[in-house]
This record gives sequence, C-alpha cells and structure tokens, in this order.
Amino acid sequence: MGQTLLHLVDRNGKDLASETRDAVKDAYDWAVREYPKVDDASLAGWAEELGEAMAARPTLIEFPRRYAFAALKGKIHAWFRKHPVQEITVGIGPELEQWVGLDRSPQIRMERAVLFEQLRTTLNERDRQILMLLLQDITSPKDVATALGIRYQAAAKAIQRVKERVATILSKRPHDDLEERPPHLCKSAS
Amino acid sequence: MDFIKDYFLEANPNPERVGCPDEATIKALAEDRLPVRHPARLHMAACSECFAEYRGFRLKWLETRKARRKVLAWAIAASLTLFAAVGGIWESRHPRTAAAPVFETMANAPVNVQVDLFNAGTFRGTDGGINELQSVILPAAFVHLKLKLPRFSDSGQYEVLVSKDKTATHVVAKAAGRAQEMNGQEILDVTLDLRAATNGSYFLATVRGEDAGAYYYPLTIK
Repeated sequence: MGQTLLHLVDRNGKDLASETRDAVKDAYDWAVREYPKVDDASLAGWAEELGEAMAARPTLIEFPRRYAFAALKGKIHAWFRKHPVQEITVGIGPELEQWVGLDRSPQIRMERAVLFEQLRTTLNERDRQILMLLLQDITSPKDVATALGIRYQAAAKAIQRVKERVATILSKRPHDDLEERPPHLCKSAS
Repeated sequence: MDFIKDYFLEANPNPERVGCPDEATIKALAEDRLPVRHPARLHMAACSECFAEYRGFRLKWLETRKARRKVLAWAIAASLTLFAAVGGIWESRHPRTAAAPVFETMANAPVNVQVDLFNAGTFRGTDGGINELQSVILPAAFVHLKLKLPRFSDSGQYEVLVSKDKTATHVVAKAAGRAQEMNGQEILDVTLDLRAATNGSYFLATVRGEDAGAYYYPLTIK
C-alpha cells in the first residue's frame, strides 16, 4: 500500500509501550483506509503527536486503542473544519476563480452539513438502524428482520423505504462534481 | 454508501462513551462472531466512536481474511497435488493381491456417524489454540458423516476437510455438501473416505463456501 512509516516515540525519543504503540498504529491504519483523501504524511504526523501525548500520561488512559481512535478521528475532523482549501485544477475557468479568490470548498462543506442535517431530520431511528445494519453487510431482509425483531415483510418494506429516502436526499446534492480533492493536491489558504 | 458511512462517523458524537459495549464485543461484531440480533449492532447507529472502532476492526479483519483465503487455496492445491503424487507412487509399488478385493468390499461399507457440534466452541483460522470443548472421534473407514453445525452457522455450501494440521498441508480426506436447516439447526451430510488414514490425532475443518471461513475441531481417528 506504500504507507508512510510511523516513528512512534515519547518526548525523550524512547520507544512507546507496546500497548500504546499498537493502539496508535491500529488507529493510523484505520484512518489511512477510511480517509483516502487525506495525505498519508499528515495522518502519520498526527499519529506520532498522538503517540507522544499518550506516552506522557499513560496511567490516565484506561483503554489506549479506544482513546487513540477517538483522538485521531477528532484531529482529522478538526482539520477538515479548519482548513479552507482552494482547488487547483487545469483550465482557464478554475484558474480565474483561483486568481479572484473564489473558494468553493466552504460551500461544499456547507452543503455536506446541510445534507447531514437532512439525514438527521428525515430519517427516523428505525431508518438509521437499518442503514447501520447495511453498513455492517447485513443486507438481507431476513437478517434485518432478525436484528430488529420485526417480521420479514416489514423489514423488506423498511429497507426499500430507507433507500428511497436516502436517494431523495442525495439526489438534491447540487455540487456532486465538487468533491474535495486530496489535500496534497491543494494549497492551504490559511 | 461512503457518504452514509461518513455521516455515521461524524453525526453521533458520544465522547463520554455512554452505553458503549467493550472493545472485545465490537471486535467480535466486526469479525462476524456475534449473531445479527446482537444489540451492539444497533448501538453503533447512535455512537460515532463505536462505529469508528468497528470500522477499524472490520477493515483489518477483511484484509486478514483475504490473505488467509489465498494461503488456504494454495495449501489445499499443494496438498492435493502431493496426495495424488504419493498415491500414485504407492499404487505403483504396492500392486494389489487377489485377496484385496474381499477386504476392500468390507471396508467400502459406509459407516454412519453423527457428530453434534451445536454447542461446540470453535477457533477460526490457523493461529488459534486447541479447542478443548469438543473433540470428534471417527473410524478409519468409509464414513457417512451427519454433522450438526455449531450454533449461528449459516446454511449453504461447505467443505469438510480432515487434515493433520490447521494449515491443511496434509489433507487426509475431503468432501463437500450443503448444510440445511432442520429445527433451527444446520445439518451437513458428507461422505469421507478415511480408509487410508492411520489412527491418531487430526483436525476436522468446516469451510463455508461463500466466505471460506474455516473452523477447526480436534479429531481422533480410531
């Protein structure tokens, strides 16, 4: 996979305890797979900072893996929120936009937030549970019915309904073509 | 589904980890070792932290399983080739005598054996420990095996292997069949030719066709 190597040491340059090292390494591996648009080197830097921070207070962290996942996820989301990104693409139009300082990424993020809000308000608890089961590769009405403790027919209808609702919400995405580019292809405006 | 996945990773922060299952449970869910009705599956619909942990375990497990399937396929192919070669050499060096057909006819009579693994513990793959919960005994004969699969097993096509080790490099017998649900239990009927097996310790492996998930049980041939 050509993944960036991690240099996991504490503030004194000593190797981390195995439990902390494994926790940070697991969280980093997950982040690389889960957020392919984020630069590996940035992720590695955050993971190394995280390892150093965890080594500084080992007794306060009861579940290192759990802590590492939550902290790294937090860093990634904070980065997404804080860094306005200007897309650099080939062509006169985008170049002009760049020169005049039109930054479309905040707009994309806003639309994303709106869509998340629509998902939150449109989908009821049962819908969200069904989506979660689908994300766990539990896709047959029989299994969904078992998981939710409902009848087969009800599960089949509920799956169909939630798919339609999600399709309706996502069909309103106005800027599908404006997906964020990988950060290493962009330059920071901050 | 990527957008939906992102939604669940962000939309339900639970930093205090209220009502969260422990890591072992999330890992077991990610590795499909818990039933679909397990409540922690639905908890993740309301907890981004647990879902992130689940994804971490799940992606890692899927990669490991993919690699393991490749190794298993190679091991089975290699062992079958070796078995055929050894069999050929044995046949060429030990021509059958006139008395052999009589013995063979007796040995060919299938022996019906029922094995109940419904409440058996299992270990999966090649790196587990020895299963002390359930041991299987089979005769060195032509065996018609009625196998009651462990709780939560799925229906479908299975392979049953008898091998000397868990990497399936020394397969003694192999058969395939379809498990069928009967009174809430999965029953698998296969016929194993164990006439060539010497008495001793082996492993009985069930390999589900769809996901190649292999489960091993200690086996004694007497």
